Amino acid sequence: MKSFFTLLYKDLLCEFRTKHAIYSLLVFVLTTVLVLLFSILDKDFSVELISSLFWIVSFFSTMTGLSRSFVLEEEKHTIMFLRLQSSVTNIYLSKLFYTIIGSLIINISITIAFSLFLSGFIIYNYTLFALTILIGSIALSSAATILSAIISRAEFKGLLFPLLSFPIMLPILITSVQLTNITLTNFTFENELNYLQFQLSYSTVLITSSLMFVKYIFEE
Amino acid sequence: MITVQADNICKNYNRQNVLNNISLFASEKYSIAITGKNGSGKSTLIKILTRFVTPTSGRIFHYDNNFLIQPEKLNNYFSIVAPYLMLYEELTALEHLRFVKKLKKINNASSEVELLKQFSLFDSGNKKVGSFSSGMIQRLRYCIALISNPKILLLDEPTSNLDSEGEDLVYFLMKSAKKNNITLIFATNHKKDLKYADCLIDLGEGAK
Repeated sequence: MKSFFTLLYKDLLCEFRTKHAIYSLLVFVLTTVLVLLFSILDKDFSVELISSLFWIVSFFSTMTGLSRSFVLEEEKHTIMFLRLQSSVTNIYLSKLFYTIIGSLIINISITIAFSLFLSGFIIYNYTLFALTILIGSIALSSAATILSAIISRAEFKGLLFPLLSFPIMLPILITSVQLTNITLTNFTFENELNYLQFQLSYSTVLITSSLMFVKYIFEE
Repeated sequence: MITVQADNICKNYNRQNVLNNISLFASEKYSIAITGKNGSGKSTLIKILTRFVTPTSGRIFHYDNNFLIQPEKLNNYFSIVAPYLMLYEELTALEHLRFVKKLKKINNASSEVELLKQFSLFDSGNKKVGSFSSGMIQRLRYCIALISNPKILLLDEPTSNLDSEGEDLVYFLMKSAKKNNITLIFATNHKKDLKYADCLIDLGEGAK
Protein backbone atom coordinates (compact mmCIF):
# COMPACT_ATOMS: atom_id res chain seq x y z
CA MET A 1 0.00 0.00 0.00
CA LYS A 2 2.91 2.32 0.88
CA SER A 3 4.47 1.65 -2.55
CA PHE A 4 1.22 2.61 -4.22
CA PHE A 5 1.10 5.96 -2.41
CA THR A 6 4.80 6.60 -3.17
CA LEU A 7 4.19 5.97 -6.88
CA LEU A 8 1.05 8.14 -6.90
CA TYR A 9 2.93 10.92 -5.10
CA LYS A 10 5.70 10.70 -7.73
CA ASP A 11 3.15 11.03 -10.57
CA LEU A 12 1.40 13.97 -8.92
CA LEU A 13 4.73 15.69 -8.13
CA CYS A 14 5.96 15.30 -11.73
CA GLU A 15 2.63 16.67 -13.02
CA PHE A 16 2.71 19.54 -10.51
CA ARG A 17 6.24 20.47 -11.66
CA THR A 18 5.51 20.38 -15.40
CA LYS A 19 1.75 21.11 -15.38
CA HIS A 20 1.61 19.75 -18.96
CA ALA A 21 -1.53 17.68 -18.58
CA ILE A 22 -3.48 19.99 -16.30
CA TYR A 23 -2.88 23.12 -18.43
CA SER A 24 -3.75 21.37 -21.70
CA LEU A 25 -6.90 19.93 -20.12
CA LEU A 26 -8.11 23.21 -18.66
CA VAL A 27 -7.45 25.03 -21.94
CA PHE A 28 -9.32 22.26 -23.78
CA VAL A 29 -12.34 22.55 -21.43
CA LEU A 30 -12.39 26.35 -21.57
CA THR A 31 -12.02 26.47 -25.37
CA THR A 32 -14.83 23.97 -25.92
CA VAL A 33 -17.22 25.78 -23.59
CA LEU A 34 -16.44 29.19 -25.11
CA VAL A 35 -16.91 27.88 -28.66
CA LEU A 36 -20.25 26.45 -27.58
CA LEU A 37 -21.24 29.71 -25.93
CA PHE A 38 -20.44 31.82 -28.99
CA SER A 39 -22.14 29.38 -31.36
CA ILE A 40 -25.44 29.31 -29.49
CA LEU A 41 -25.57 32.88 -28.13
CA ASP A 42 -29.23 33.41 -27.14
CA LYS A 43 -30.51 29.99 -28.18
CA ASP A 44 -31.45 27.50 -25.49
CA PHE A 45 -29.90 24.05 -25.46
CA SER A 46 -32.00 21.04 -24.61
CA VAL A 47 -31.02 19.08 -21.47
CA GLU A 48 -30.18 16.04 -23.63
CA LEU A 49 -27.77 18.10 -25.73
CA ILE A 50 -26.10 19.67 -22.67
CA SER A 51 -25.60 16.21 -21.08
CA SER A 52 -24.12 14.85 -24.31
CA LEU A 53 -21.80 17.85 -24.65
CA PHE A 54 -20.71 17.48 -21.02
CA TRP A 55 -19.53 13.91 -21.56
CA ILE A 56 -18.08 14.58 -25.02
CA VAL A 57 -15.84 17.26 -23.48
CA SER A 58 -15.02 14.95 -20.57
CA PHE A 59 -14.20 12.01 -22.90
CA PHE A 60 -11.92 14.01 -25.19
CA SER A 61 -10.20 15.78 -22.29
CA THR A 62 -9.50 12.45 -20.58
CA MET A 63 -8.24 10.98 -23.86
CA THR A 64 -6.07 14.02 -24.59
CA GLY A 65 -4.21 14.39 -21.32
CA LEU A 66 -4.71 11.58 -18.88
CA SER A 67 -4.71 8.57 -21.17
CA ARG A 68 -0.99 9.09 -21.74
CA SER A 69 0.07 7.98 -18.24
CA PHE A 70 1.78 4.75 -19.38
CA VAL A 71 2.56 6.06 -22.87
CA LEU A 72 4.60 8.92 -21.35
CA GLU A 73 6.64 6.51 -19.21
CA GLU A 74 7.38 4.47 -22.33
CA GLU A 75 8.20 7.51 -24.47
CA LYS A 76 10.54 8.96 -21.83
CA HIS A 77 12.04 5.45 -21.32
CA THR A 78 11.43 5.73 -17.56
CA ILE A 79 9.26 2.60 -17.45
CA MET A 80 12.31 0.38 -16.87
CA PHE A 81 13.42 2.45 -13.86
CA LEU A 82 9.88 2.24 -12.49
CA ARG A 83 9.53 -1.50 -13.06
CA LEU A 84 12.86 -2.20 -11.38
CA GLN A 85 11.65 -0.45 -8.22
CA SER A 86 8.10 -1.74 -7.94
CA SER A 87 5.63 -4.35 -9.16
CA VAL A 88 3.59 -3.77 -12.33
CA THR A 89 0.40 -4.11 -10.23
CA ASN A 90 1.41 -1.22 -7.96
CA ILE A 91 2.40 0.86 -10.98
CA TYR A 92 -0.99 0.14 -12.61
CA LEU A 93 -2.89 1.09 -9.43
CA SER A 94 -1.00 4.36 -9.03
CA LYS A 95 -1.66 5.26 -12.69
CA LEU A 96 -5.35 4.36 -12.25
CA PHE A 97 -5.75 6.64 -9.23
CA TYR A 98 -3.77 9.40 -10.94
CA THR A 99 -6.19 9.19 -13.89
CA ILE A 100 -9.23 9.14 -11.58
CA ILE A 101 -7.98 12.28 -9.75
CA GLY A 102 -7.34 14.00 -13.09
CA SER A 103 -10.70 12.93 -14.49
CA LEU A 104 -12.49 14.26 -11.39
CA ILE A 105 -10.68 17.62 -11.74
CA ILE A 106 -11.75 17.75 -15.42
CA ASN A 107 -15.39 16.93 -14.64
CA ILE A 108 -15.55 19.47 -11.81
CA SER A 109 -14.01 22.10 -14.14
CA ILE A 110 -16.58 21.27 -16.84
CA THR A 111 -19.38 21.54 -14.25
CA ILE A 112 -18.12 24.98 -13.13
CA ALA A 113 -17.70 26.17 -16.75
CA PHE A 114 -21.15 24.88 -17.81
CA SER A 115 -22.80 26.42 -14.71
CA LEU A 116 -21.20 29.79 -15.48
CA PHE A 117 -21.78 29.92 -19.22
CA LEU A 118 -24.76 27.69 -20.11
CA SER A 119 -28.10 28.94 -18.80
CA GLY A 120 -29.78 25.57 -19.38
CA PHE A 121 -27.35 23.77 -17.08
CA ILE A 122 -29.28 23.60 -13.80
CA ILE A 123 -28.69 20.68 -11.45
CA TYR A 124 -31.79 19.48 -9.62
CA ASN A 125 -30.43 16.34 -8.00
CA TYR A 126 -27.03 17.18 -6.52
CA THR A 127 -26.42 13.80 -4.87
CA LEU A 128 -27.08 11.89 -8.08
CA PHE A 129 -24.98 14.38 -10.07
CA ALA A 130 -22.04 13.96 -7.68
CA LEU A 131 -22.38 10.16 -7.91
CA THR A 132 -22.58 10.33 -11.71
CA ILE A 133 -19.39 12.40 -11.86
CA LEU A 134 -17.57 10.15 -9.38
CA ILE A 135 -18.56 6.77 -10.83
CA GLY A 136 -18.33 8.04 -14.42
CA SER A 137 -14.77 9.27 -13.72
CA ILE A 138 -13.80 5.91 -12.20
CA ALA A 139 -15.28 4.01 -15.16
CA LEU A 140 -13.65 6.23 -17.80
CA SER A 141 -10.32 6.11 -15.94
CA SER A 142 -10.35 2.32 -15.57
CA ALA A 143 -10.75 1.99 -19.35
CA ALA A 144 -8.26 4.78 -20.15
CA THR A 145 -5.54 3.37 -17.84
CA ILE A 146 -5.50 -0.18 -19.19
CA LEU A 147 -5.76 1.10 -22.77
CA SER A 148 -2.79 3.37 -22.08
CA ALA A 149 -0.81 0.37 -20.79
CA ILE A 150 -1.66 -1.72 -23.88
CA ILE A 151 -1.02 1.08 -26.34
CA SER A 152 2.27 2.11 -24.71
CA ARG A 153 3.71 -1.19 -25.97
CA ALA A 154 2.40 -0.77 -29.52
CA GLU A 155 3.52 1.10 -32.57
CA PHE A 156 1.11 3.63 -34.16
CA LYS A 157 -0.02 4.79 -30.70
CA GLY A 158 -1.83 7.84 -32.05
CA LEU A 159 -4.07 5.74 -34.30
CA LEU A 160 -4.75 2.94 -31.85
CA PHE A 161 -6.01 5.01 -28.95
CA PRO A 162 -9.18 6.52 -30.46
CA LEU A 163 -9.79 3.29 -32.37
CA LEU A 164 -9.79 1.12 -29.23
CA SER A 165 -11.18 3.62 -26.73
CA PHE A 166 -14.40 4.44 -28.57
CA PRO A 167 -16.05 0.97 -28.48
CA ILE A 168 -14.77 0.28 -24.96
CA MET A 169 -15.96 3.57 -23.49
CA LEU A 170 -19.23 3.88 -25.43
CA PRO A 171 -21.39 2.07 -22.80
CA ILE A 172 -20.01 4.37 -20.09
CA LEU A 173 -20.63 7.49 -22.14
CA ILE A 174 -24.22 6.47 -22.96
CA THR A 175 -25.11 5.68 -19.32
CA SER A 176 -23.33 8.80 -18.04
CA VAL A 177 -25.32 10.96 -20.49
CA GLN A 178 -28.55 9.28 -19.34
CA LEU A 179 -27.69 9.85 -15.68
CA THR A 180 -26.77 13.50 -16.30
CA ASN A 181 -30.11 13.95 -18.13
CA ILE A 182 -31.89 12.77 -15.00
CA THR A 183 -29.97 15.13 -12.72
CA LEU A 184 -30.71 18.11 -14.97
CA THR A 185 -34.48 17.53 -15.04
CA ASN A 186 -36.87 17.96 -12.18
CA PHE A 187 -38.38 14.51 -12.60
CA THR A 188 -37.78 11.23 -10.84
CA PHE A 189 -36.83 8.22 -12.88
CA GLU A 190 -36.58 4.56 -12.02
CA ASN A 191 -33.57 3.76 -14.14
CA GLU A 192 -30.89 5.77 -12.35
CA LEU A 193 -30.01 2.96 -9.97
CA ASN A 194 -29.63 0.52 -12.88
CA TYR A 195 -27.31 2.91 -14.69
CA LEU A 196 -25.17 3.42 -11.57
CA GLN A 197 -25.06 -0.34 -10.95
CA PHE A 198 -24.01 -0.89 -14.56
CA GLN A 199 -21.19 1.65 -14.29
CA LEU A 200 -19.97 0.20 -11.00
CA SER A 201 -20.02 -3.36 -12.43
CA TYR A 202 -18.21 -2.18 -15.55
CA SER A 203 -15.46 -0.53 -13.48
CA THR A 204 -15.13 -3.52 -11.14
CA VAL A 205 -14.82 -6.03 -14.00
CA LEU A 206 -12.36 -3.83 -15.91
CA ILE A 207 -10.14 -3.05 -12.88
CA THR A 208 -10.13 -6.69 -11.69
CA SER A 209 -9.23 -8.07 -15.13
CA SER A 210 -6.62 -5.32 -15.57
CA LEU A 211 -5.00 -6.25 -12.24
CA MET A 212 -4.89 -9.89 -13.36
CA PHE A 213 -3.43 -9.30 -16.80
CA VAL A 214 -1.44 -6.05 -16.66
CA LYS A 215 1.86 -7.85 -15.91
CA TYR A 216 1.61 -9.76 -19.22
CA ILE A 217 1.41 -6.49 -21.16
CA PHE A 218 4.94 -5.62 -20.06
CA GLU A 219 6.53 -8.97 -20.85
CA GLU A 220 9.12 -8.50 -23.59
CA MET B 1 24.58 -16.86 -0.30
CA ILE B 2 23.16 -15.37 -3.50
CA THR B 3 23.52 -17.18 -6.82
CA VAL B 4 22.39 -16.40 -10.34
CA GLN B 5 21.97 -19.22 -12.81
CA ALA B 6 21.00 -18.90 -16.48
CA ASP B 7 20.48 -22.03 -18.57
CA ASN B 8 20.51 -22.07 -22.38
CA ILE B 9 19.14 -18.57 -22.84
CA CYS B 10 17.90 -17.76 -26.34
CA LYS B 11 16.28 -14.53 -27.39
CA ASN B 12 14.66 -13.65 -30.70
CA TYR B 13 13.45 -10.22 -31.73
CA ASN B 14 11.20 -10.18 -34.81
CA ARG B 15 12.39 -13.67 -35.77
CA GLN B 16 16.00 -12.53 -35.55
CA ASN B 17 18.14 -14.55 -33.18
CA VAL B 18 19.93 -12.21 -30.73
CA LEU B 19 21.15 -14.70 -28.09
CA ASN B 20 21.73 -18.38 -28.67
CA ASN B 21 22.15 -20.90 -25.83
CA ILE B 22 23.90 -18.68 -23.31
CA SER B 23 24.45 -20.19 -19.88
CA LEU B 24 26.11 -18.63 -16.84
CA PHE B 25 26.48 -19.17 -13.14
CA ALA B 26 27.52 -16.50 -10.66
CA SER B 27 27.70 -16.78 -6.91
CA GLU B 28 28.46 -14.34 -4.10
CA LYS B 29 31.74 -12.40 -4.42
CA TYR B 30 31.98 -13.57 -8.02
CA SER B 31 32.19 -11.22 -10.98
CA ILE B 32 31.39 -11.92 -14.61
CA ALA B 33 32.19 -9.70 -17.58
CA ILE B 34 30.13 -9.97 -20.75
CA THR B 35 31.83 -8.74 -23.89
CA GLY B 36 31.05 -8.81 -27.58
CA LYS B 37 30.68 -6.60 -30.58
CA ASN B 38 27.96 -3.96 -30.86
CA GLY B 39 24.63 -5.68 -31.34
CA SER B 40 25.89 -9.00 -29.99
CA GLY B 41 23.20 -9.02 -27.28
CA LYS B 42 25.13 -7.86 -24.18
CA SER B 43 22.41 -5.44 -23.03
CA THR B 44 19.69 -7.97 -23.87
CA LEU B 45 21.42 -10.53 -21.64
CA ILE B 46 21.67 -7.98 -18.80
CA LYS B 47 17.95 -7.16 -19.18
CA ILE B 48 17.11 -10.88 -19.18
CA LEU B 49 19.08 -11.37 -15.95
CA THR B 50 16.98 -8.63 -14.30
CA ARG B 51 13.83 -10.35 -15.67
CA PHE B 52 12.95 -7.09 -17.40
CA VAL B 53 13.05 -9.04 -20.68
CA THR B 54 11.71 -12.58 -20.94
CA PRO B 55 13.92 -15.03 -22.88
CA THR B 56 12.42 -16.81 -25.88
CA SER B 57 13.70 -20.05 -24.37
CA GLY B 58 15.91 -21.04 -21.46
CA ARG B 59 15.51 -20.36 -17.77
CA ILE B 60 16.85 -17.95 -15.14
CA PHE B 61 17.10 -18.78 -11.45
CA HIS B 62 18.07 -16.51 -8.57
CA TYR B 63 18.78 -18.25 -5.26
CA ASP B 64 19.20 -16.93 -1.73
CA ASN B 65 20.85 -19.65 0.41
CA ASN B 66 19.61 -22.30 -2.03
CA PHE B 67 16.03 -20.98 -1.80
CA LEU B 68 14.57 -19.76 -5.07
CA ILE B 69 13.89 -16.01 -4.94
CA GLN B 70 10.33 -15.27 -6.05
CA PRO B 71 10.24 -12.95 -9.10
CA GLU B 72 8.18 -10.33 -7.22
CA LYS B 73 10.87 -10.11 -4.51
CA LEU B 74 13.79 -10.05 -6.93
CA ASN B 75 13.88 -6.25 -7.14
CA ASN B 76 15.06 -6.14 -3.53
CA TYR B 77 18.15 -8.21 -4.36
CA PHE B 78 19.63 -6.50 -7.38
CA SER B 79 20.36 -3.08 -8.81
CA ILE B 80 21.30 -2.08 -12.31
CA VAL B 81 23.28 0.79 -13.80
CA ALA B 82 22.81 1.20 -17.53
CA PRO B 83 22.73 4.06 -20.03
CA TYR B 84 19.15 3.11 -21.05
CA LEU B 85 17.92 3.42 -17.46
CA MET B 86 16.33 6.85 -17.77
CA LEU B 87 15.48 8.98 -14.74
CA TYR B 88 12.76 11.57 -14.15
CA GLU B 89 13.81 15.01 -15.35
CA GLU B 90 11.24 16.66 -13.06
CA LEU B 91 12.60 15.10 -9.86
CA THR B 92 15.74 16.05 -7.96
CA ALA B 93 18.61 13.66 -7.17
CA LEU B 94 17.54 13.43 -3.51
CA GLU B 95 13.92 12.78 -4.48
CA HIS B 96 15.03 9.89 -6.73
CA LEU B 97 16.97 8.32 -3.86
CA ARG B 98 14.13 8.74 -1.35
CA PHE B 99 11.68 7.40 -3.94
CA VAL B 100 13.73 4.20 -4.40
CA LYS B 101 14.31 3.84 -0.66
CA LYS B 102 10.56 3.97 0.00
CA LEU B 103 9.64 1.62 -2.84
CA LYS B 104 12.22 -1.03 -2.01
CA LYS B 105 11.36 -0.87 1.73
CA ILE B 106 14.88 -1.76 2.76
CA ASN B 107 15.65 -1.29 6.43
CA ASN B 108 19.44 -1.20 6.18
CA ALA B 109 19.43 1.21 3.23
CA SER B 110 22.43 3.49 2.85
CA SER B 111 22.19 7.17 3.62
CA GLU B 112 21.29 9.20 0.52
CA VAL B 113 23.47 12.11 1.68
CA GLU B 114 26.53 9.86 2.12
CA LEU B 115 26.06 8.38 -1.35
CA LEU B 116 25.66 11.79 -2.97
CA LYS B 117 28.87 12.89 -1.23
CA GLN B 118 30.68 9.73 -2.37
CA PHE B 119 29.72 10.40 -6.00
CA SER B 120 30.40 14.16 -5.78
CA LEU B 121 26.72 15.05 -6.25
CA PHE B 122 26.03 16.50 -2.81
CA ASP B 123 25.88 20.09 -4.07
CA SER B 124 23.43 19.06 -6.79
CA GLY B 125 21.20 16.99 -4.50
CA ASN B 126 18.31 19.44 -4.71
CA LYS B 127 18.68 20.16 -8.42
CA LYS B 128 16.31 18.60 -10.95
CA VAL B 129 17.78 15.76 -13.01
CA GLY B 130 16.72 17.65 -16.16
CA SER B 131 19.58 20.07 -15.51
CA PHE B 132 22.19 17.30 -15.02
CA SER B 133 24.93 16.43 -17.51
CA SER B 134 25.12 12.84 -18.80
CA GLY B 135 28.06 12.17 -16.44
CA MET B 136 26.10 13.43 -13.43
CA ILE B 137 23.14 11.24 -14.43
CA GLN B 138 25.46 8.22 -14.59
CA ARG B 139 26.79 9.06 -11.11
CA LEU B 140 23.21 9.36 -9.83
CA ARG B 141 22.42 5.95 -11.36
CA TYR B 142 25.20 4.52 -9.17
CA CYS B 143 23.79 6.26 -6.08
CA ILE B 144 20.33 4.82 -6.86
CA ALA B 145 21.80 1.36 -7.44
CA LEU B 146 23.76 1.38 -4.18
CA ILE B 147 21.14 2.87 -1.87
CA SER B 148 19.42 -0.48 -1.45
CA ASN B 149 22.69 -2.33 -0.67
CA PRO B 150 22.13 -4.83 -3.51
CA LYS B 151 23.35 -8.43 -3.40
CA ILE B 152 23.58 -8.55 -7.20
CA LEU B 153 24.92 -5.59 -9.14
CA LEU B 154 24.42 -5.46 -12.90
CA LEU B 155 26.37 -2.86 -14.85
CA ASP B 156 25.96 -2.18 -18.55
CA GLU B 157 28.84 -0.08 -19.88
CA PRO B 158 29.93 0.79 -16.30
CA THR B 159 32.10 3.79 -17.13
CA SER B 160 30.07 5.36 -19.94
CA ASN B 161 29.80 9.19 -19.77
CA LEU B 162 32.10 9.36 -16.75
CA ASP B 163 35.23 11.49 -16.38
CA SER B 164 38.47 9.97 -15.03
CA GLU B 165 37.47 10.72 -11.42
CA GLY B 166 34.12 9.00 -12.01
CA GLU B 167 35.86 6.04 -13.64
CA ASP B 168 38.12 5.65 -10.61
CA LEU B 169 35.05 5.64 -8.35
CA VAL B 170 33.44 2.90 -10.45
CA TYR B 171 36.64 0.83 -10.49
CA PHE B 172 36.88 1.17 -6.72
CA LEU B 173 33.27 -0.01 -6.47
CA MET B 174 33.93 -2.98 -8.78
CA LYS B 175 37.05 -3.86 -6.85
CA SER B 176 35.29 -3.70 -3.48
CA ALA B 177 32.30 -5.74 -4.69
CA LYS B 178 33.99 -8.96 -3.50
CA LYS B 179 34.67 -7.50 -0.05
CA ASN B 180 31.02 -6.41 0.20
CA ASN B 181 29.67 -9.86 -0.80
CA ILE B 182 28.20 -8.53 -4.04
CA THR B 183 27.71 -10.65 -7.15
CA LEU B 184 28.90 -8.45 -10.00
CA ILE B 185 27.85 -8.93 -13.62
CA PHE B 186 28.86 -6.30 -16.15
CA ALA B 187 28.75 -5.82 -19.89
CA THR B 188 31.60 -3.89 -21.44
CA ASN B 189 33.81 -3.38 -24.44
CA HIS B 190 36.60 -1.65 -22.52
CA LYS B 191 39.64 -3.85 -21.90
CA LYS B 192 40.42 -1.78 -18.79
CA ASP B 193 37.19 -3.05 -17.16
CA LEU B 194 37.96 -6.71 -17.72
CA LYS B 195 40.55 -6.98 -14.94
CA TYR B 196 37.71 -6.74 -12.41
CA ALA B 197 36.11 -9.95 -13.72
CA ASP B 198 36.71 -13.51 -12.50
CA CYS B 199 35.14 -14.92 -15.62
CA LEU B 200 34.51 -13.68 -19.15
CA ILE B 201 31.61 -14.44 -21.47
CA ASP B 202 32.42 -13.38 -25.02
CA LEU B 203 29.33 -13.10 -27.20
CA GLY B 204 31.54 -12.41 -30.22
CA GLU B 205 29.45 -11.09 -33.07
CA GLY B 206 26.30 -12.44 -31.47
CA ALA B 207 23.91 -15.10 -32.71
CA LYS B 208 23.21 -14.95 -36.45
